[in-house]
Amino acid sequence: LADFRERNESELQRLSDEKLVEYAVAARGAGAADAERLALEHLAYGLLPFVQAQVAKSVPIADVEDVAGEALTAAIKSLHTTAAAFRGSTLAEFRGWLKRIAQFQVVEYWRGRKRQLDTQPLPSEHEREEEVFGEEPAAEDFTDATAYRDVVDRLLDELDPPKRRVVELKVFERYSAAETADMVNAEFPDLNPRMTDTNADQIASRFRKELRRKLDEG
Amino acid sequence: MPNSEVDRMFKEFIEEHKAGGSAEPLEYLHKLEGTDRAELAALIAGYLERAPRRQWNAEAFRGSVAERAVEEAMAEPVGTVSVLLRSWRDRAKLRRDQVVARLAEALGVAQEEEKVAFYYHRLERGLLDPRQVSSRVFEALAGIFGQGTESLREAAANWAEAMEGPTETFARRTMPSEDVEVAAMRAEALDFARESAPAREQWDEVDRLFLGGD
Repeated sequence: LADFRERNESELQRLSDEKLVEYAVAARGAGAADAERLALEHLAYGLLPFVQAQVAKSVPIADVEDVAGEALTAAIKSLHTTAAAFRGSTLAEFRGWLKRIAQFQVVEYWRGRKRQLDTQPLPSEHEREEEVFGEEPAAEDFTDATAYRDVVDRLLDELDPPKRRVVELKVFERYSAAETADMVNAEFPDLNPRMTDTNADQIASRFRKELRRKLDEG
Repeated sequence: MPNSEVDRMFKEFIEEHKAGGSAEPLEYLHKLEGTDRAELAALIAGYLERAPRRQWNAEAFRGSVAERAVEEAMAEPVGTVSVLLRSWRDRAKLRRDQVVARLAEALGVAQEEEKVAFYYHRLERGLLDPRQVSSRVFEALAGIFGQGTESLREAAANWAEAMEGPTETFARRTMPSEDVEVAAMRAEALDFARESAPAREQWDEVDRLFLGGD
């Protein structure tokens, strides 16, 4: 604690999310309010697109900015006021924590919409007036926080670990089929049969088709 | 087959993000509609879940949603002595019993470690009015964590200020909403602790350190 050292912007940029959180908490503990603020600014600016994209999966685009802003504020506020707000030690844990806050905000949003819809006409009753009345809510019920799982997570959970890793690498991180197969084979040395370029392509393609189909269903 | 327009925009987004650009998902999503938009949102979200944070840009940050989020968060009180102590202990990677042992020794009451543990636990859990705590305790704790005592005094003042208003209001100002119920339970526990504290004439040295002030 006594050796807390303020870091400059380029040093902060190089810190992982979880290290940046650790640094912000340490700054607060050392009474270095400016250092804590700068760290939280880096987190908020750097992760806003992530929060917006999470929210955009389940909220009409006109409302994404507001809902994402509320989620981000809740997360930063929690980090600022509660020493133990986040205790994880990996990027996946931190992004998972942030994602849960975003999902909570999505559920709150749909609960609010549901209350409104109970007393107001549906947008479909005002065809061609979407700009005034907004988009029709998704058919899926997002108002139950315990049941809420986004479609990507549900599809990923249906896959075994090697296939899931193929999707992560090939679909989301856009590695080539050959690179994906190599990495999966390295991560799962006992995988039998070994992952091939063709298999990786097929798994990724099937995932995309299934994702599209689920999204089409609403 | 994957939609080529969705793929093209997803690829552009990633390139902008990797190049250190602002990479605003909404700018891309606004260009599509319906299932295409939903698919692009899912792909971008999946990518950003695994990608490095967007590169810092002080100019773009000013006036952004992110800046408003930080402003609002920083307007919250930093917290109480309990928040500060847990923060310091986390940082110092000390178990509570280790802090208690050092504290008891620093206060010259090593033989009363169990009682010091009782009070330290309450202090760290927000179940003890820090205004009643002797400055000797704060000095000892600051020494254990390598801190000045000023932060603890400020935090004690926060606690005092907060307790002037209704507990629920305080909780809403200082905690995530899901913790409000916990705060209400804490307030009840605090009341119970006050009522069950030993009578002043029965105080020993440790009671005086944690209940007698100065």
